[in-house]
Amino acid sequence: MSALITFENVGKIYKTGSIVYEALHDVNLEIEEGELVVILGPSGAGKSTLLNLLGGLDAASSGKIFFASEELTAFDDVKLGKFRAMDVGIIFQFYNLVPTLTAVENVALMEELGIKIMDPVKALEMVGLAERKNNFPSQMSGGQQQRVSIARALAKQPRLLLCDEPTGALDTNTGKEVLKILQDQSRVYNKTVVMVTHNALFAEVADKVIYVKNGTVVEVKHNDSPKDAFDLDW
Amino acid sequence: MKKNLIKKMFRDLRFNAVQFVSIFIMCFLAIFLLAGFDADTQGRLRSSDRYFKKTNFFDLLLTSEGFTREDIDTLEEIPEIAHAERRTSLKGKVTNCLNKKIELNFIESDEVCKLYLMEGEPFTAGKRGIWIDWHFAKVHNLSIGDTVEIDIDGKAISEPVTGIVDEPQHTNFMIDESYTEAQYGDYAYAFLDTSEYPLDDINFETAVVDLTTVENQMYLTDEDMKAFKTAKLDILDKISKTSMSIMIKPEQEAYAAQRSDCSFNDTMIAIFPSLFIVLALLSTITTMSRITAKQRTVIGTLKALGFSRKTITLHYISYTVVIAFMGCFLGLLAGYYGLGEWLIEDFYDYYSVPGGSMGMSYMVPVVALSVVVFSGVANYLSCRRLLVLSASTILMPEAPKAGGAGFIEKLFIWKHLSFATRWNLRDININRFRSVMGVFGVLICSSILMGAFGFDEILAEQDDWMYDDLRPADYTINLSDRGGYSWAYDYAREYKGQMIMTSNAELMSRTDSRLFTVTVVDKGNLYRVQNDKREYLDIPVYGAIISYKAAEALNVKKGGNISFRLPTEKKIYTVSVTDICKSPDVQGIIVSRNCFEKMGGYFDPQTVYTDMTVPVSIASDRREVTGVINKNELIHSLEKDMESMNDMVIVIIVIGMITGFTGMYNTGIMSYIEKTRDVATLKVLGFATEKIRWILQQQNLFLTGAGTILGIPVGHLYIKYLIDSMDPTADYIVDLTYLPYVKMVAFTYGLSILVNALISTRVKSINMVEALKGVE
Repeated sequence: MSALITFENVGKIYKTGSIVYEALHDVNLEIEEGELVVILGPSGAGKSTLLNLLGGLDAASSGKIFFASEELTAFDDVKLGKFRAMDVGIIFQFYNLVPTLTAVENVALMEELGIKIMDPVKALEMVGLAERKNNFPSQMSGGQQQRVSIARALAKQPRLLLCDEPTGALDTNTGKEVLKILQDQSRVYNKTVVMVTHNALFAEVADKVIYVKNGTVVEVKHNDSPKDAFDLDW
Repeated sequence: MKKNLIKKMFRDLRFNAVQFVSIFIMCFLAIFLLAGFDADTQGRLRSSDRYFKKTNFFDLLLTSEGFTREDIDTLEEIPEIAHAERRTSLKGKVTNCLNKKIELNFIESDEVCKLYLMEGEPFTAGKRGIWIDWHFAKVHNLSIGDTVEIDIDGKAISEPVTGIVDEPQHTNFMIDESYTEAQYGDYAYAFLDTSEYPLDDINFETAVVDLTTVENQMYLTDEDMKAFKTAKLDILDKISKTSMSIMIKPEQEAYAAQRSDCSFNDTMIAIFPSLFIVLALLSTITTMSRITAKQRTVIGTLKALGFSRKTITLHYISYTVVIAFMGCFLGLLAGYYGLGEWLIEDFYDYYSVPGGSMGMSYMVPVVALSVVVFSGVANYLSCRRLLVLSASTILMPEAPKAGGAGFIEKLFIWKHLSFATRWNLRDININRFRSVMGVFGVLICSSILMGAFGFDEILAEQDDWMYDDLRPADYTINLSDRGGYSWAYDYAREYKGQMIMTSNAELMSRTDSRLFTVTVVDKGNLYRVQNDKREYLDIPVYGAIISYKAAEALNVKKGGNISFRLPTEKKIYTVSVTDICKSPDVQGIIVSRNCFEKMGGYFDPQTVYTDMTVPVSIASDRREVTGVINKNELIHSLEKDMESMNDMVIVIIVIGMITGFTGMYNTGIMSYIEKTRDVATLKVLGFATEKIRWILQQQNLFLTGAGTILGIPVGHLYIKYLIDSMDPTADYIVDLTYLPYVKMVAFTYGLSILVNALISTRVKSINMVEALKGVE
């Protein structure tokens, strides 16, 4: 496998008035295409910052980030936007659906990026929610909303799926279902899935586990025999 | 725009209906009033302009003791003059039409102020017959070929109707002072050839002049005004009549009245639409700031999903652009076809302008479009703060606003304030923009109400001021201007009355000269004068009292000198100004008969005021009497005249209430939504619903108080604008009692308390769990 994503000495600093906070410091890592990667670490370790930089949601303060040999850190706002639209699917902890759009409309929203996406109903079928397509987010459970969020991310068939605590707001069974969908994206469809979590149990389903602490990558572990999501002892 | 984003927009508009409806109403009202008043103004100006061009309305009107054929030839030799015609008129009664009054105009030709022929033959010099006004012909069923019997000072004439016409000098024609507004058909004017003049010696007292360089009618330019001045000087140079006075077109009564009405419209256009536009833009800013803040996560998500900043910005801008466009478009239609048509119909009731229609200036669509554009810009500015941030920053929850009540917290009194007061003061200080918006909304409402109630009181006082304080006479006898002193003296003696002479005159100060009125008052107590504090002033034995508006126009001060010349006299009178008075209906100077005669003037009264009962029948029985009017008729006529003003006051009050309600409800809802978490917290802590509602009400009362106080001076400014835009011959005393203030405070507070009560009912049903969730 070739590296889809490469971080070279990446740092991120936040400034609020006179207060300077170093969220990431000298991060180096590689993520291969089709891998399921779990980024683990305690609160405030820099996991979400890492994910934001991966998805082009934020700009690095130092260092270089490459995606399929292209330097993301050299992209302007417009190119970053295109990158997010074409190559990245994001799944949030709190689903972040547009409350005034139905499930199918939330997925169809991706059409408006001017890219070719799969049939929104088919995307909902993939996550087992075709029958709730005309429901508004407020009419669905947390798990259902998260599945719509996944369908939205999958609809544009991105190369990279980024998940920020995707099961953080879900119960155990629903969490496993969501995790299974994400695992299948990597195993069946060869998508690169990067998942941020503070739940160490998820390390068992990952191909690669990146441990983050105090803004640096402290360890990268390869998992030769990842478990199936439904086999997790949650 | 994108299909799903459009769906999202319309659903968001529905979920935030109150805020967007208020923006819609503001935009609608702004363009409704603008289009309505503009349709009226443009309709008047364009129709009159067309009519005056078609009839070649005069540029100069000359008055003297008489113009000879040579005078007219001399005038026509002046290069700036294209044509000049002399005219004279007589008043009489149409004996075969209920003895109705008629003004007969005798003309030699029909080149200047041409007759506008509705039916019959055009005027031909030397032809027998009468060209009678079409309103009178219509009311009295006169047709071409009918005979009109007229009595002029005992001389009977009979003329066949040759033409039915309108004439531009008579666009707002009132035959005598017994009318305060035009009542077409109740009297007549007509034109005849000079060969039909029924009395012995014809004396042409007026001449109408058309200038070569002035083509414009209602849209006079600086060049036109210069041309008037040059022509005036040339005429004075060439015509040796020192008694001659020259009136330029804009000074003509009907012309000036139309201009004055348009100036009132301009004031309405300047005040109300601008207020509503400002309010609409501020509502846009507050509403969109709140919506974008509330949709922070949605915006962050859209950005994270790859939507460009431009797409998201355009999406949010479209919210208010759509609403503003709908408001402006419907406002334009309703304003033009509703208000505009109503106003212009009212105009054509008082002004005779054949072929009149409505109009629209380019300003209306430009302003409407600007409102839409500015609402987009205001929207952009309010969304920009969030949209410039990176997707990851937007997705982070916003930090709570920090801060206290500012310097007040350092004061000793702070510790002694109640929890509610401290909570409210901190909330106001932390949310300064929202609080200022709240005060501004109340200010708009209270100032409009202050203006309306204040103006209403001033109008209501006008008839008391005029007919109790200044002209308390029970009866007014108007005499023919051909009678001279002896007739007036006889009636004054018979009815123990007071004689008054009024005359248009050119008033001259050291810096300027203008046409005003000179009133000469004989001994008596039925014609009185007051200053701006409504204190009586004695008419000086020697000296003049000048009206406030004349003094201002001519820059004359108390103690200074003023000169005047009467239209048919050579003599220039100069007199010192002893005082300045407020005059409700006539602007100029007032001198005593004694003073006037000492200066060598001939006292020639046309009016006798008396407290004795005068039989109305003498107006028809005696030819020297042109009218007998009792005080009640005058009051009734004034009240009728004021009806449209009173309607306007009601419209202004309604506008104030609508503005106040929408403004207060909008900012109130916004304020409540922002405080939802605080309110839920207080409720969780065990505060009773009523206690929380009272805390919210306290802040509301405080902000309403601030807005109400600021509304008082602004309301006074509105009153000043309204008065300045009224008829230039009218004046008012602004001496308000406590009542307009009480009404304004009561209405503003009533509205504010009602709005707050409506909003705070939500406290009872607040979902504490939902409200206290960390995210949407």
